[in-house]
Amino acid sequence: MAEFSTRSGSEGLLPGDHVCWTVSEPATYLDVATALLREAADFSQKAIVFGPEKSEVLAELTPLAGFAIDPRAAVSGDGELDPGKVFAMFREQTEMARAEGYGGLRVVADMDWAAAALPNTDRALSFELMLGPLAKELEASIVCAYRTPSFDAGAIAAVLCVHEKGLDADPPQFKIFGDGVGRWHLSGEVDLAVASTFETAIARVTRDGGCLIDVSALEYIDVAGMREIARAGRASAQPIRLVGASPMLRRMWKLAGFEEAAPTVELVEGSGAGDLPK
Amino acid sequence: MSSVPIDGRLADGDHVVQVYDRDEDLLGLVGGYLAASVLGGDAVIVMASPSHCDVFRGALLSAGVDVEAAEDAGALVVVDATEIASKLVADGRVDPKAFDELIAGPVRQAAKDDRPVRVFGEIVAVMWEDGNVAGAIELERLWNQLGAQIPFALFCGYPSALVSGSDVADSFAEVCRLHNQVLQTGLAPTTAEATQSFEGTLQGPRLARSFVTKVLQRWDRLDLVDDGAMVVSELATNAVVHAGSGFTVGLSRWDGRIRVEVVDSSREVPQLQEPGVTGPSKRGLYLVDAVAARWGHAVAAGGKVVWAEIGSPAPIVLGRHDLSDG
Repeated sequence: MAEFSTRSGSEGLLPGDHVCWTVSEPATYLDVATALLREAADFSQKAIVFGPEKSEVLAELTPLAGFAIDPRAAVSGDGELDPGKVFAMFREQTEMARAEGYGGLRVVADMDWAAAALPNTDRALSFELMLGPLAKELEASIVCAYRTPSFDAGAIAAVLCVHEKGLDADPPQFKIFGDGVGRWHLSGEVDLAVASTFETAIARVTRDGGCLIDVSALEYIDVAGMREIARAGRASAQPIRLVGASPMLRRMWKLAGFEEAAPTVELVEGSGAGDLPK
Repeated sequence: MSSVPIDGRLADGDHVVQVYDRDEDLLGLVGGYLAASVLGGDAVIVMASPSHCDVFRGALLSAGVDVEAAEDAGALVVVDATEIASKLVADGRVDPKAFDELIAGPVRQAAKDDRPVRVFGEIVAVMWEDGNVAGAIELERLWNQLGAQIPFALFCGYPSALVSGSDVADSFAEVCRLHNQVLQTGLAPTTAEATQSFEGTLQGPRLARSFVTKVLQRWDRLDLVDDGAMVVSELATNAVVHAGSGFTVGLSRWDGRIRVEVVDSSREVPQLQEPGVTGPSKRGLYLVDAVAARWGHAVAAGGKVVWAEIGSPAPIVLGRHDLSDG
């Protein structure tokens, strides 16, 4: 069984998991993808492949899968992906699978098509960031396969940051992902090395107003990172709550002047359990 | 929370030593310091070799100072360091009475008008050059003792050829401990106890944090790890982003505090600005300023050093003779 690196160690692919798989060995791709799809039965999941219908690799996998979702159906006239359509397709497939007696979906997503339809890293980040909470909500297992020849190292490093788990990849310097029930988790170290990925991610997470971010596993954030959160706070009428904020974070936030500059951002010491944004 | 701008203005209590390679370097730096002080209305005392005195007067004139008028008014005092040095020493030791008359006297006089007093002194270098290293160190201590009684800032200059030999390394280290800031016209901070150089990549700040954390743990200053990591991270970020260069981190322990230095290869002056939430600004420095007890910057050959001190000084005990205790 393939093992996925998580903060707590290695474990199998579970319902609700959103995994970033960096594929550097083309030879292993089929073997691993096949094994992943075969495990679907163990979890009462319907195996799905996600990628352009006629792609070579998928042709091999499709017989194993219950269904193939073609992302091109969600690509608009100008060639860009509409994430909303993709998410609708997943919801629809989940309903159908449940009607057939399955618990949910197990998806291997071959992301090569994304190189064209998600032309910049920002869009890819946004898409993946919102795919995570969807996986949780639908109790789906979604593995996004990024093949290293098709994507540059920077793009792969960036998308790794917005997946809850990784496969065959070194853990990213920071991570942000949603748990599907209104809470985001921000962990690791935010600084110059990941500044542009963090900026995009925070902007997307806070785009719709107030939100709740668990920062109990955030080990470091520099002033530029704090500024991005403050910026989001100033653009939001509702509170942005950082729960599990360490004493150091609270002190630095205050000393850097952000408490005054962004009063809608609340730093909360405890876990804020039960505190969901309205 | 004082900052030392690159034009050399200091604050009361500063005792800065500048190690210079060539005369031109010293004169460039000190000229700026003196001119800014005179033009700013400070009382300025220059105790330098005769040739340096001439050049300083010339530098002040070029900066728009009416040197004659300033000297007549007592706002500028220029005296011969070699003459003072010869009268200062009796039996190889500094004569307290001579110190009082030739050095403390003029400083007290200048302080009478409640203006900031700013001094440049080469007497120590003159003595050192004469072979009286112990005397020079003694004089530095007496300057510090005087500094505890009267507020003034002192800028000392030593030619690097004089103080760089391995035979005088210990003595010079002691001299540095008697100053609260050591500047030198060279890129690496040689008086830092722990140094490491980093490439100017995006990973630089994180690697610098890791280095500082390790050193502070080794020095048993776990209480300062958070502040130290933050300070070096912000200074390193500035070095990589604004200087676009590799940088060197130096750490020293001084008087209960930890001094963090980041040396880079740009001359761009770090500006302290209000941390606006939109628009670019060097708000990293705003946080450093809030956290550090003191911070500043100075010219280094081919670049600059930005330093910050964290932690609190050892308590001042009345009657202390020199800054290096504790």
